[in-house]
Amino acid sequence: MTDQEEVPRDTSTEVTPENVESVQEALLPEADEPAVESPLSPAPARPLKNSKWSFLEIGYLVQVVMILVALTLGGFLDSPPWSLFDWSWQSILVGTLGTLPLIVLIFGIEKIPIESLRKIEEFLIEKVAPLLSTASLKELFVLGSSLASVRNFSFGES
Amino acid sequence: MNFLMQKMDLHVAILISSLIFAICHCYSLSYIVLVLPISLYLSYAAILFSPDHQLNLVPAILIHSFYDFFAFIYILYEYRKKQKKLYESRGNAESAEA
Repeated sequence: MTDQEEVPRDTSTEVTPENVESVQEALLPEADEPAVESPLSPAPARPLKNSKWSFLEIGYLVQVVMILVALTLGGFLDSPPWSLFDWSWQSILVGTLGTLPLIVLIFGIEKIPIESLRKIEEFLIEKVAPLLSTASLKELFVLGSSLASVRNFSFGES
Repeated sequence: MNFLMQKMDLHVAILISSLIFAICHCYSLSYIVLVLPISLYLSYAAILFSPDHQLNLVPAILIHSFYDFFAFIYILYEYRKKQKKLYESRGNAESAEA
């Protein structure tokens, strides 16, 4: 083929006023296609706020159900759940200091070379942590303490 | 536990209540096995540290709350560390290609 020879043009890919909309549609990403992150983004993409709230809403719903179960059991036993709370300074001290062995356990588990423990850790880091990544420290504390209160409240009563 | 304590021996009541508590964390069998001793610890904290060995939920709730809070912070720290490593490795690969 010489330079002078005409190369036949492929007109099927040309953008004309008639086909501009269909070309735009073909080039735009699908609505459900995940957005491509830049590998050099300074911070990881945060999950949508909606996903965080749906997770929290389910959590709150479960807790409300557990409170109702505890109150119902308390009614049957003639011992209201709030009678199981003694807010003395000894209780608060024991509750605070008693956390220390469990904190040691959190860091200790990382050192134990058991495959199933690694899987639990992976699940927590890959599935649960992204749901909490937009929460502030205050929100984390409120979430943790409300989870703890309702669970202990329900199991204490039952 | 309050209900079970009225029906049976204290330690059996604690064991049954802890088993139910552990089964509620049924992500996997190993997770249940991991939660069971924590649950026993919380149950005994609710009994042993009350003045007359009656059920007092305050120590158990405080221990569980602080534990959840530190566990959340720990998994978020590990998650961010992992993300940072991932972005750094991608950045290095891209600059090597360039």
